[in-house]
Amino acid sequence: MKYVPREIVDEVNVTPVHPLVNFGYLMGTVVAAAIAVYAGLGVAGAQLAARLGPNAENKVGDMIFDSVFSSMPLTTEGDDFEYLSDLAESLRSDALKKRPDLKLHILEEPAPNAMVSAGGYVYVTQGLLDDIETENELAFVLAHELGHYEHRDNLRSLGRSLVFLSLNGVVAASGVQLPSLLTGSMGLADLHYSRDQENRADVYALEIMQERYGHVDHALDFFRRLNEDELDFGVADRLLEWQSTHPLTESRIERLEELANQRGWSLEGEPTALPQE
Amino acid sequence: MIELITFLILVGVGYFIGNRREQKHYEDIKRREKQTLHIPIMSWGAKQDLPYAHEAEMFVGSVVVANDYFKTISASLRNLVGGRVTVYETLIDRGRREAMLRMKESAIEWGASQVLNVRFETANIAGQSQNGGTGAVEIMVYGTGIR
Repeated sequence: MKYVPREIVDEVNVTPVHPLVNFGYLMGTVVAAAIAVYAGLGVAGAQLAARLGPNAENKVGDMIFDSVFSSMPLTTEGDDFEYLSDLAESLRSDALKKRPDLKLHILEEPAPNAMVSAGGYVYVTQGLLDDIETENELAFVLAHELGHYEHRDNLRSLGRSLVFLSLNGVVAASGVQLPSLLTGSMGLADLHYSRDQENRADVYALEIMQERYGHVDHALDFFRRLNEDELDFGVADRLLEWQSTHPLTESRIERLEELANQRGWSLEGEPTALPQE
Repeated sequence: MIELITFLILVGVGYFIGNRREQKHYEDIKRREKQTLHIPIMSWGAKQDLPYAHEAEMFVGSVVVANDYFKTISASLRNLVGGRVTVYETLIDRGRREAMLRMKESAIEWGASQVLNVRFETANIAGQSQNGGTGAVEIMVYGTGIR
């Protein structure tokens, strides 16, 4: 038999698919799956969080405290703390008394802020305590956070994160290397509230103010001062509000004053002074 | 955001540079395959008589090819849904042909008229760490050259 050299012309071993088309198809599949998971299991997580019993809530709260907050500079003593603690306890509604006890902490942080995490952990920054001028202001901020707590907003957003974290764990355990882009944004720190949740907490807090002081004056003074410090972007403000999860301070104040007028709450009253230090 | 930019840069570098190198390599492979076409590559059965030869010598061609970032990401995405890993097909195809060419070229240099009983071996020499790392494969071709 004679050997006739023949050139290789067709590439049988190479599938004629453009690598970018292939990549696009794969990315599309993953993104579609991620959206389905986000919609499905996110809702499941929120439902689960909303039905969590006090014991389980306590456990979750302790876990988050240990992993996120315990390393931060926290104070749980001193006159400021005693005062804050008494004030927070007095703001607790009947519904909240069935939930885990409040665990108050002062965070040594110059920026004024307050937050509540699962299991009744309430954090108030030293910066906020320095900035407030009357008890009404502080009570409003605390009541707002307690509103998030009573409405289980923190658990809802946590529920979604928890589902993602466990899902991420499953994917990692299966040995599939996902780009960090897909997994990095699903952290525990990613706990924010929607604008609706913020508005509900505001209304909740204002109701408590009316009940406690008989008027809603001075409750929003802190936000007014904050508002003066904020830059005015004019038309861009609306765009910014749409983007952010917290309603902008100005519209927040307007909304609450409107609510007070509707319900016939007094917008004038004597402020309650802070204790002398 | 920074993560996203890093990711896109890595994928971009992987795609554009990797693709360009692949095309150059294929051009080179096709040119050399044409040059070495006159030497037959043959496999013989266990009880067949081998062709008569004055001299025989073993020739080995081996190559190590690595995948680029783009291919790694594509393949890891493919791992989720299954199916043909087309991005690796070209990589392995290049590796096999390059290894074969290296063996043939050294045989031609020695003066071989044919190469008998050619065998392929592959070994995964990288990418075995837990966090992925770089993937590379070694492809080795060996056969008996006669003259």
